[in-house]
Amino acid sequence: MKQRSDLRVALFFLIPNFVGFSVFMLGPVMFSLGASFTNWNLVKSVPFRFVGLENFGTLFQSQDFWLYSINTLYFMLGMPVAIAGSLFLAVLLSQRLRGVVLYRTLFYLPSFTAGVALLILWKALYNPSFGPINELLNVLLEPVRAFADAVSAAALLRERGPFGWIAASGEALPFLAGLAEAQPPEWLASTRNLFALRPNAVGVDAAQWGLGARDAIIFMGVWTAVGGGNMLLYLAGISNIAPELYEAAEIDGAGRWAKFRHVTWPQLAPTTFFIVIMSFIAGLQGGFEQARVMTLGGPAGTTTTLAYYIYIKAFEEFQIGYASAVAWVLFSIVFAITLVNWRFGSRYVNY
Amino acid sequence: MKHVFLIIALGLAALSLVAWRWRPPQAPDYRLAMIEAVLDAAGAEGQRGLAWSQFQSFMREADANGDGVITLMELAHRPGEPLWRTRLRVAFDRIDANADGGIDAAEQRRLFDSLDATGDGVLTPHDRPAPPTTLLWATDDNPVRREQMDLFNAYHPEYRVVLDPIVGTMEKVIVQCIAGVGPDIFDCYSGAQLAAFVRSGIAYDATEALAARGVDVNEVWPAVHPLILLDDRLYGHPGNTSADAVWYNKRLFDEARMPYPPDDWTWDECIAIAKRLTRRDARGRPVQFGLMTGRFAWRTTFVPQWGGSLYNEEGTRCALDAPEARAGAEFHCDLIYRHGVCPSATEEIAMANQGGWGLGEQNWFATERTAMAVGGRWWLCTLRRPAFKHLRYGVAPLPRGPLRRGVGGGRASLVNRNSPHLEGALAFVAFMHGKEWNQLMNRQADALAPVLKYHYGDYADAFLRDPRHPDEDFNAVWLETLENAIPERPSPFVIGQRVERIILNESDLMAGGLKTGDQAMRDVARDINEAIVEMLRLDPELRARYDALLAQGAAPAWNSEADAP
Amino acid sequence: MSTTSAQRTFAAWWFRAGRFHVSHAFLVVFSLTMLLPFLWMLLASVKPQNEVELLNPFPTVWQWENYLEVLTHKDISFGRYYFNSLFVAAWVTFLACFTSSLAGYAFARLRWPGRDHVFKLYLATMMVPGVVTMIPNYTLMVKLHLLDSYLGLVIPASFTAFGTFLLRQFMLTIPPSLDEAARIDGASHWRIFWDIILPLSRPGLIVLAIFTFMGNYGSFFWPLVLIKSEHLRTLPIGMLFFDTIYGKQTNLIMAASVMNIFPLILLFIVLQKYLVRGIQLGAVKG
Repeated sequence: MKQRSDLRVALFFLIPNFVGFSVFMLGPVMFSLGASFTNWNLVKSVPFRFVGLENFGTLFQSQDFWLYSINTLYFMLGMPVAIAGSLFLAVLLSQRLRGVVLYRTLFYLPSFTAGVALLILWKALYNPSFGPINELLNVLLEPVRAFADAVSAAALLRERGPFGWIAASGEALPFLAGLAEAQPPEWLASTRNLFALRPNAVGVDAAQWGLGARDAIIFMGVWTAVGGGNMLLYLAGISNIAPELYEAAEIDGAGRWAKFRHVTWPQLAPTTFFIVIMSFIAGLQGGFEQARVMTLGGPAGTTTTLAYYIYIKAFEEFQIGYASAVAWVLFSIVFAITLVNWRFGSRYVNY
Repeated sequence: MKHVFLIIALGLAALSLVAWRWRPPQAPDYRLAMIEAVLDAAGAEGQRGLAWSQFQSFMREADANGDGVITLMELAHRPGEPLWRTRLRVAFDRIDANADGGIDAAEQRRLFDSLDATGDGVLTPHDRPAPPTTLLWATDDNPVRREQMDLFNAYHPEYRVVLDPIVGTMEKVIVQCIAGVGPDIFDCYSGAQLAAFVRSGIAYDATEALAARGVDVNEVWPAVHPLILLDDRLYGHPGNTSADAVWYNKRLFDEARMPYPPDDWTWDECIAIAKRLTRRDARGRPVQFGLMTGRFAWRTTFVPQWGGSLYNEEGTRCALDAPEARAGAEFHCDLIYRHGVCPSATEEIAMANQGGWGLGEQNWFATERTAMAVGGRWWLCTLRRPAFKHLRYGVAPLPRGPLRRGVGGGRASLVNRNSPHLEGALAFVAFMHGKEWNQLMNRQADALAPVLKYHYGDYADAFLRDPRHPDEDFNAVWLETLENAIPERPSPFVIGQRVERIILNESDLMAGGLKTGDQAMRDVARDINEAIVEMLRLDPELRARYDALLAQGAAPAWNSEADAP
Repeated sequence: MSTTSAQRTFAAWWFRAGRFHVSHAFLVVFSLTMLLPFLWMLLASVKPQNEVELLNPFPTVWQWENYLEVLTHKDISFGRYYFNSLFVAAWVTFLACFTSSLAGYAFARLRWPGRDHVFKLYLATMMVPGVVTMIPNYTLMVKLHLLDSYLGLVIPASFTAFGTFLLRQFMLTIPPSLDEAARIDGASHWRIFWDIILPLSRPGLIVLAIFTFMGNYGSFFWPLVLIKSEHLRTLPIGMLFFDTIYGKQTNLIMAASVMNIFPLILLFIVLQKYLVRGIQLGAVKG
C-alpha cells in the first residue's frame, strides 16, 4: 500500500491538545532545562550567571546525590512485583465471576483512601512493639528462638554430643545466640535494609542488614499498587481484546496458559508499554509524598528520594539551578529507558 | 456515546452557572448602617453633622444604668426602639473589640472615630466609609487564628484581614512572591526562615515603619528576636512567643503516691521521679513513660544548659563540637539509653502514630501515656478541648542543668516587600505590639504574648489568673520559663534550612542509638561547617563579611587552611 | 454428629455446584485486607479526639457528631469546598478526555511526518519532576491572569501528556483493518474517530476519566498556591483548618475524608461497569 500522509487531518486532531501542551507543559519544562545551566539561587546576593555544565559536575561529585539515587532505585524494586500482581489480578477479575464489581471496588479502595489515612494506618501496622505485623512475626519467631536456645544449650552442655561441633566451630555459637535473641524488624524506625546499605554514606555495612524503613515502604507500595491504577489499565486492555482471537485459539485447542501466552500477553503489549514507562517515571520521581507526610525523608535520610532531594535543594536551600540539574539527570535516565523500551516494544505493535 | 457527551457538557455548563453565581455573602459594613441610623435619629440637627458631644448623648441613652459601660443586657430589645439602638446591638461584638462584654468610654470614642471617615470631628452623610481593603495573611489555619483576625478587623474596620493557609514550609510564599503576587503578611517560624525570606528579597525592611508605629523591639521577649531581627534590621513582629517547661499528669503522680514536681529541681531529681513513673509490660514494651523530651531536646535544652551553643559568638563556625555541647548531647542519650526514662526512636514510633510539628509529645501527654513531657503553653489549645476535659495536669519549670535556661521560639509575621497594601500590612503587624493582641494571645493560650510588659504590673492579674480557666494555676511557671529563655542565634553564613536538615538526620541517628551524642555533635558540626564553606564559595558578598570577622579574630569554619573556600 | 454431616452435605453441594472457586478464596482474603485502611478511616471518624491516637480499633464512644461538626463548623464552609472539588475535577476530566482522545487519534491512527518525534516530546515532558517547573508554571498563571480562579485550576490540568499517551496506547490495540475498511467506504476521519475508534476505546476513556478525576480531586499543592479566596478553596485546602500546628483533629479530618471519597467510590462503581467495549467488533465489520 502506498505510504499516505494525513498531516492536515492530524493537525486538526492535534491542535487543541498541542496548544495547551506547549503552553502549560513544554514551556515550563524548557524553562527548567535552561535553569539547569545557571547558578540560579533565590538568595539575592548570589550573582546570577550561566555556569554551563558546572551543576552537573558538582552533582555527580555530591555524596547526597548518589545516596538518594540509591534510595530511589531501592524503592523501585517493588515495581515489577506490583506490575505482575496487577496483571494477575486483572486476568482474574476479567473473568465472569460472581461479585466481580465488589472485588474490583475493594481492590481499588486503597487508591481512594490514599494519602494521610493510608500512611497513618500503615504506621500503626508497622508499629514495632504493638503492630499486628510484628505480633504475628513474634509468634512465628518464638519457636525459632526456643529452638536456637535449646540447641546452643545442648551444645554447651555436652561438647561431645550430637551438637558438639557447634560449640567447637566458634562461629555457630554466636550465630545461634543471635538467633535466640532474634527480634522482628523495627520497620519505620530502622535504617536497616536488605542490601546492608549504610545510612548517611555510600557503602555497605553488615550491621545494617535486615528489614527497615525502606522495605516497609516498598511493601506498602506494592500492596497499594497491585489493585490500583495498573489493574484498571490491564482490565481495560483485556476487555479490548477481540473475543474472536480467543475463539480462534480455542479452536486450535489452546489451554488457559497458552491463551494467555499467545493472545492476552501480546495483545496487552501497548498497555504493558504504557504501564512500564509510567512506572519508571513514577518510580524515579517517587517517594515525595511519603517523605513529606510520613518520614520527612528519615530516619537519617534513608527514605529521601531524588524527588524529595530536588524539593530540598529548590525550596529549602534555594538552589533552583542545581535542583533543575538533578531533575534533568532524572529525565535523561527515564528518557533513555523509554527509548530502549520503544525499540523493544514496537516489535509487538503493528501500526 | 454522543448523547453522553452532550449530557455531560450541558451538566457542566449548568454547574458553571451555579459556581459563577455562588458568591459568599459579604458582611455588611456596620459603620454605614450606624451612620444612617444615628443621623436619622438626630433629625434636623443631624443635617449639619453630629459632633462627639451629641453622639455621646446617644451612648448615655443606651447606657441605662449610667455606669459608663453599655452591655448587651442594656441593649435588650424594646418594642418600638429607634433604629440606631437595633444596629448598635447587631454590631455589638465588633464594637466591643476587647470582648469583655461591654462598650466602655474608649470603645465609644473609637466607634465615633471609625464612623467619622472624613476625620473632621462631625458625622455627616459624607462619612460613607470606603469598602475595607483586604489583607492576605499567610499563616497556618486554625480556630485561634480566626479569633485573632476578628480582633484586628474589629479595631480596624478599614481593613479586612483574610487567611491564606500555609503548612509551615516556605515554598508557597516563595513561589507566590517570585511571581509577584505574594500575600501581604506571611508568617515565619524560625530564624532560619527569616534569613531565607530576607536574603531572597521577599521580606520588607520595616525598621523605620514599625518604629513610627510605636513598635519598640526592646519590649519584645528576647527569645523571639531571631525571628524578626537580622543584622539589626527589623522585619516584622512576633505574634506569640514560647519556651518549654515540663507538663505533668497529676493523676499519674497521685496514683504512684508521689508529690508533684517542685518549682526548682535538678535533672537528677527529675530522673529519679521519671524512673518511678516509667512502666513496661511483661515483654518489656513501654506502656507509660516517665518523661518525654522530644527528639530535639538536646538542641533546645541540654546543649544550652550545659553551656554550649549552635554557633560561636560571631556565627562563623558551628560550635556543637565544643565539649559543653557534646556533654549536653550525651546527657540526652543517657536519658534514653542509660536511665530508660525517655523513649528511643523505636519506642517513639511504637507509641505515636503521627509525625511532624513535635505533636508526638503532645499526643502522648494528652492520652496519658507519659507522666511528664517537655512542651510549650500552646498545648493548652488542644488540652482545653472537650475531649481532654478529664485530664488533670500541672506545669513545672525545666529542671536545672549546670545552667538554668532553655531555647525559646515563636511565630512572627513579616511583611511582603511587594505588597500593594503596605500600609495595611504594617498596621496589622504593629497591632501585634498592642495591648489587645497581647491579651488575646495570653487568653487563647496561643503560647504567650510577644510583648514583655503585658505579663507584669497591671496586666499580671489578668494573665496569672484567668477567671475562665480557674484550674490553670501554672501561668507563673510559664512566665519564669520565658524569663529564662534565650534566643537561638542563627548564622548568617549558611542556609538555615540546610542546617535543619543536617540536625534532623543526626538526631535520628542519635535517637536510634546508631551514634553517641558525642559523635553526633562532632558530625553535625562537621557537616554544618562544610555547608558554611560551600555557601562562602557561592556568595562573594558573604565571603567579604566573613573575612572581615575572621580578621577580628573569629574562628573559621575550617580546621586546616586546605579546607578554606 | 448431625452438624458434621450437615456441614459435609453443604460442602459437597458447594463444590459440586461449582460454587467454590480457587479464585474466590484468594480474592476474598486479599480484598478484605484492602478494606482495612477504609475501615480504619471510618472508625477513626467516629472516635473522640483523645482516642484517635490510641491503638484500640473501636471507639469507646461512637461520636457521630464529628460529621455534623465538619459540615456545620462556623469557620469553614465545607459544602462550598466540596462543590469546588467536584466541580473542578469534573471539568478537568471532561476536557482532558476530550483533548486526549483527539490527540491520541492523531498519534495512533494517522500517519504524518515527525509523528513519533512529537510523541516522544509529549513523553519527555512527563519525565521532568513537577517541583522544578513549579515556578515557571505559576508565573505563567499570573501572566495569563488565571490566578485565584476556577479557570486556573481547570485549564492547565486539561491538557495532559499522560492522557494522550494512554489513549494512544489503547487506540493502537484496535485492528487497523477497521478504519481502512471504513475509509474505502468513504467515511471521513471525523466519522471514523467518532463512530468507530472512540466507542472502541471506551475502556481506555473510562480509565482515563477515573484517573483524571481522582488525581485532580485530591490535588493539594496547585490549589494551595493558586487560590487565595476562601470561596474558591477545594476540600484538601479547606481541611487544613483541622490539621493545625496546635494538634491535629484527626477524627474530624477522617470524617471529612470519608465524605470526601464517597463520590469517588460512587463514580468508580458506576464507571467500572463500562470497562467493556462500547460496540462489538462484529457490528462494525458487518
